[in-house]
Amino acid sequence: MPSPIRITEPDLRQAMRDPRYWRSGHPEREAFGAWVTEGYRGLYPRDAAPRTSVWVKPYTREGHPVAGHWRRAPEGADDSAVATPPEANDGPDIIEADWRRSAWEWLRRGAPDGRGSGGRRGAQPTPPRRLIPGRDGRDRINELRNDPATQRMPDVHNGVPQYSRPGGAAGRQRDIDSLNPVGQPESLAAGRLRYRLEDGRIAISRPATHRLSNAEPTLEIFEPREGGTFSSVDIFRYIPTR
Amino acid sequence: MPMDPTAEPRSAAALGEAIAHFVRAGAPANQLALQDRAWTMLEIWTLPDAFPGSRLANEWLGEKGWLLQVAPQREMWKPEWVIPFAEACARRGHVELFGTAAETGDLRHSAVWRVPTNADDISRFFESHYACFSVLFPADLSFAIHCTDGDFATYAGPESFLREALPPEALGPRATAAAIAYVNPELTEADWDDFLAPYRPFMIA
Repeated sequence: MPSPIRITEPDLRQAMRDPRYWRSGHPEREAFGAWVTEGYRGLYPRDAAPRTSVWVKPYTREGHPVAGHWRRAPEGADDSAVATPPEANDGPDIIEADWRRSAWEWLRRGAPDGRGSGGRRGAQPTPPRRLIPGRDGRDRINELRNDPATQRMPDVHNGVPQYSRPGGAAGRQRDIDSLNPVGQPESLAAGRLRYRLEDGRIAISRPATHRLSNAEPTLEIFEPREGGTFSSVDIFRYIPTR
Repeated sequence: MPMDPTAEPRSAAALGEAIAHFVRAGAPANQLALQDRAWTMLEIWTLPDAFPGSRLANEWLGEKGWLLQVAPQREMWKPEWVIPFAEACARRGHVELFGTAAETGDLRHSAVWRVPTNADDISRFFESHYACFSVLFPADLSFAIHCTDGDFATYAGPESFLREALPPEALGPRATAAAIAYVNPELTEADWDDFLAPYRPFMIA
């Protein structure tokens, strides 16, 4: 029996970057989109109850083709209870989707010896961006990302892309001013200020907290999601100019 | 300067929109009393950059016989991550928890929120308070989750509670190493020794 392969939220996000998902007029777009949608339903059922879903790839049974489909395992099923896949005709035929698989994705990135060396190391591809234009039609965060003085840092921090910018605290303040904050900043904990941007995003200035830093000035950008929640999308680190 | 017990304590939420529907834990004096109660579990921890943060107090951990597990704070923003925790709370009859900043300075006296024990609201508390040290706890102080300012969440409580509130793969030394790698892949446990060393005697195996 072929080894099961797992599907997680990052896998589905990757699938959404496939032209079959987003290209208008692609002959497989409808079917591919439905597959991704079903995958998300498997990962995050509406009642948030933990369960396992499996994706059964197309296969041949007793000489007859069987179409690929999502199949929900019994309530309370654990890994070992995933239904035995039918005999495959082409490689792995089951993709396992489960909320815990997604939640613990970072655990699987750990090194076998358990040391903290298994995270996402090395330059990461720039994630696709949803442009959020301000009143003047410019996405000023995107302009910061693409500014010639901006350097993409090789490692993510808390899963968020990092960029270095020059100028220390003064450079950060110049950037904040360029983002058109609305009103006065709100003081948070010591050394932390919150700015509401005209495009609905939030910028929080703070010192760096990680141990390779010297508490350098940092600006973290949050995009609004539904229900009043936010996603952290960028961290800018301001290196003091020598 | 002592806090005016009649003045509404300020909110410490950096992303307060996420908890716009939360209710404060009573009158100002009640909130301040709850925050003081939370501090019976905590002690001041001075960070390498001299910033005065907080952490779970060794004395409390030892007296209570609690164990600890570290996880990435940002994962706590995801409802699916805190489902086991919410379920463990509910099984113990906790319909709500209390959440507040665990800061010194201006936020030493700040708002205490009633946090319903469902995964969505619990994750919203952690998201909203990511930029400060914070603590989530039940009225009887029978367990707690303490967070540093955006990096780590530390589950604390009896061993039986930890084993319900986190799946097996998120418990133990490997999970701690993975949490550190998640925060920054260039760092190892040695880099976070000032944070981890006082906790080591209490870390769950």
